[in-house]
Amino acid sequence: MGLKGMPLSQISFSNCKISASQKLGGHNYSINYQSLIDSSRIGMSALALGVCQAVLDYVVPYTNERVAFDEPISNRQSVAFLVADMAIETEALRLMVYKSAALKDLEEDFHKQASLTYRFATHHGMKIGTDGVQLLGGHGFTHEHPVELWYRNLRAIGIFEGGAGV
Amino acid sequence: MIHPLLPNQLQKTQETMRMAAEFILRPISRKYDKAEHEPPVEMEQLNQAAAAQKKQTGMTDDSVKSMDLGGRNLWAVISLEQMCWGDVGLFLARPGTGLGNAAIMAVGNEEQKSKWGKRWAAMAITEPAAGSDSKNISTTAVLEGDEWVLNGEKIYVTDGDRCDCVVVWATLNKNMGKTAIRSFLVEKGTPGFTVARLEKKLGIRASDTATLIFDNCRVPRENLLGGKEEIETDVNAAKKSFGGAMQTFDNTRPMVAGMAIGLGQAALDMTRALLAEEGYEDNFGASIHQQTAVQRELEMLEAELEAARLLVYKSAWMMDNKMPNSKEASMGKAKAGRIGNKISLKCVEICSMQGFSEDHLLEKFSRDSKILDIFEGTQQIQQLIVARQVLGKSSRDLK
Repeated sequence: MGLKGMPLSQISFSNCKISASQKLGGHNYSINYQSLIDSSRIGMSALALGVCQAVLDYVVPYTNERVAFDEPISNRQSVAFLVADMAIETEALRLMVYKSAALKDLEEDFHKQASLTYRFATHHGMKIGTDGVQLLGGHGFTHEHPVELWYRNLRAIGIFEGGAGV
Repeated sequence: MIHPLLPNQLQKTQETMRMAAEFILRPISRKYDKAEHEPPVEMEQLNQAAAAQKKQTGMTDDSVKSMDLGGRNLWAVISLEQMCWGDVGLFLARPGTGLGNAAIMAVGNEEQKSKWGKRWAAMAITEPAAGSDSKNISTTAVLEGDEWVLNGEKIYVTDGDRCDCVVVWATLNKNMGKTAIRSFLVEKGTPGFTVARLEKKLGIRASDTATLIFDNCRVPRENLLGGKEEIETDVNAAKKSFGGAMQTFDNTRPMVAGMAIGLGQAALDMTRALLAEEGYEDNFGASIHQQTAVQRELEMLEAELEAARLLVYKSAWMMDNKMPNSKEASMGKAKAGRIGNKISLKCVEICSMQGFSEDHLLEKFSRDSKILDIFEGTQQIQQLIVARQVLGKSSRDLK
């Protein structure tokens, strides 16, 4: 559906032998799976943030230039308020992502913050993706504009990592 | 950029004000909700706690601290967030400061600031025929000798009955639109100034909301805030003058948004406490098949609240650092206002009959929260302000 620049492959192992020295982290190391997932969720949220910003940066000039009923469609509240909400949630997501990453950098407990940020990113990312298409109407549905691509990519953010049991 | 962790001093403020909210406000929360219009006598304690905190953190009124620390505005948002975790209505009813004080600090000259800054000042803008459209007010002010003569009716004035004085918005010449609007300080007891009635309301019943009448009410010439008696004919100067008055809102919106954050947190905390009796625990970040519908719902609400909180803190921090924050203040107010409404009503729903019953405060939170998405600019006014800024539109293009 989306993320087509990133091929997904299936790999299989059958009695594949590797040397003991290839175990990452050395002999006695075990992975902190929780911390790994939490870190990855900050990254995923940052991806969503970048795409949300791209959608916003695209719909602002588009709705300002697109004329219907003799004036730019952004002169209408139902269009303009959708753009306003997009800007509000994108800015909020940015602050959530930065705070989560900063907590990790400061070596504070960041599990809760990363979880909430990821949840926020998936929910509002998907909303912003679909609103981006909506604001361009029929044009947004075609490959002539990137909003349908961003919509498909934002949809993936809600699936990545979410299926992982912790 | 604002630091992701609050400095120790502000964390201390948070803790102290939370305790004050829990032990001073919560026990009398229901009492003053029922006893609508009765001034709460226990509030002096809260003011003392806040004053002591302010002194301890070294936040004197005009101090603006370094970027990392945050200054007076961030301090105010953080402490009122905690007080409103206790009770929004009581917080608004605390004696001493009203919205008029913010107007005096924003628009008044040095002499006016020192004369009235410490008095309890309400703010009277809204009229029966002008709400959000504040440039369209029809209360008049006419200079006669050394006195201004005010005539008109003001409604929905928070603290209007209990305050010491009122900042009244009036026009010097109705035909000249917003360029002619000024604010005046009117002391309680001035002849011609009466409190006509008190509003009965859905929520924040501990706080008084008054209708004020000005009938040939005369105030000294120096009570014109900012002292600008002549009406500018130059368009840009005029814009700047009204803009100055509107700047009051850039200062007060983060405060009202902070109230919604405190209330939202209170509703979530109370819901969790009730659910905990049935064995509920949060499991933030668990995968979808491991979360109950309630766990998932509360996780989302907590995320929305945290997002709103960060927007609001940032808008207050920008003010402390003298950065223009009109867009950010409206973003925070829009997000916090609607999320406060959503959370408090969802919490009633999740706790079902316990949420609906007066045995708990959840139903009260849902009633109190509604006003926070209305006053200091409704949800829609905030969206309008954000949209105009993001899209680069004038108020003529985007009505």
